[in-house]
Amino acid sequence: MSNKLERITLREEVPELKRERGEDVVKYLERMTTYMNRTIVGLDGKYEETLR
Amino acid sequence: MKVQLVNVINRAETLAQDRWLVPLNLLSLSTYLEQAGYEAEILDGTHISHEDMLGKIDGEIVGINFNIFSVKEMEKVAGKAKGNGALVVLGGHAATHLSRQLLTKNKNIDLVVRYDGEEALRQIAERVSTKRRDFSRIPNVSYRSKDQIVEEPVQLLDLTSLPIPNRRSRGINLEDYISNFSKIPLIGEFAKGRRPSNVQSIRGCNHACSFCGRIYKGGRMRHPEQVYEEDKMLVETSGVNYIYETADSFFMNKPWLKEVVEVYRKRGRLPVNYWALCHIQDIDWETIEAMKFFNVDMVNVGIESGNEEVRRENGKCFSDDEIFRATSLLGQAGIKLQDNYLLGLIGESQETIQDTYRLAKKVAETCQVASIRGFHLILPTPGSPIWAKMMQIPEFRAKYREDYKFDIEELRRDYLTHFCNL
Repeated sequence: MSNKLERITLREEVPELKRERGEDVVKYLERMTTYMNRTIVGLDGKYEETLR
Repeated sequence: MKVQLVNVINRAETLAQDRWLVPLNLLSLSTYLEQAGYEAEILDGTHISHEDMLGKIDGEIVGINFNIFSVKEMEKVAGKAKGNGALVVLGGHAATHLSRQLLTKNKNIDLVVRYDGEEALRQIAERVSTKRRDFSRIPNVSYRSKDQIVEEPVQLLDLTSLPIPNRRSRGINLEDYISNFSKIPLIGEFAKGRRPSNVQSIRGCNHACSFCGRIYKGGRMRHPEQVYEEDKMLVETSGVNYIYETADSFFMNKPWLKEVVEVYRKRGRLPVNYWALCHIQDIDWETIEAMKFFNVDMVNVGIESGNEEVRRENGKCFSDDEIFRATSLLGQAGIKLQDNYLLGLIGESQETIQDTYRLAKKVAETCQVASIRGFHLILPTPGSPIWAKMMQIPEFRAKYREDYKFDIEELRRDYLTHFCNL
């Protein structure tokens, strides 16, 4: 059961990670790094700016 | 005779979190020069403004370290130094890979030192001090001769022959660096009570990651006694209690690691905690024991991608199982993981980005992750395998190979469009 659950979790898709139609490839990956840093690391945009 | 060693940076691209790291590359050069009887001064762009730096340029030799973000600043410093009649010498990672382009395109640059700079710079200073302007037969040096670029053979130094970098070199105030640690927003409470400094006991790495432009292949170690002496000096003379070991993997060579442990055991452990970089495959019970012995409380590991195939394609040949085995060991030992990921590796697709997102979340379930773990965007830099792959394509070769100034966004876009499936 737990293995099955794990596989389902692993296959779960995150819609925010998809490239939008016509989105520039550099802008897309910039958006991805920001998104992951925000959602996984806990950085928000303002916080990232203060790093500079 | 005065030698100035300048670290030029582009402030827009330099993170505040780097401002606590002393410029060990320049400190090693200045200490070596001081030992040979030359006056050396460091101007570190992470601590002084570009304008102040330009106002301070007055050395007979001006050595400049730069990266591909700080080309404009480097050109200004080189122009100012040349205008003063100084000998302008470039060195470091970027200069090593771009030596021909720099000497061909910028007449303000007299010499480029490739790879290790200590002995080359000493010999350059010796010749300048005796009014000689012939730099032939100095190891690692490149220079113009008539219409040609001459590259003297490369000699890598035995690290055990280098003195411990002097953190009191002219231009360096260690307290200024230490105080910047607590200003890193993400560090937060972690900074409390910590007086950190960085060291580097190994130059080079045994791996060949696609994105890495490091110039040293294979690890050269300092003597275990030197490692101890440097740490002890930091503790005793500067009250440092937290040491960041910036070797690419401090745990890469187990026989050497055992010798270091033995020295610490014999001479006495130091009241200090460590933070170190580590390769995921170097984490096993043996190295975990060493980490515990050294009071390592955080390791910085490049996982890079959540997709095994992408990792393999980019020189990170370890499986998901190996990752989880390693992170679980760290978890059991109570050592924090600072895991890093790189988006845009060769073969990256929207699906592999999903893999990376999921893997990073899963890793955090196996151990305690650091607040400064992070996701980064790839950039092909000269000297890296992905740069070499780009240069195999005639269009990119024509566009980038003969210059040292790049439009970073365009370079990134060219690479991503050609090597990823996004």
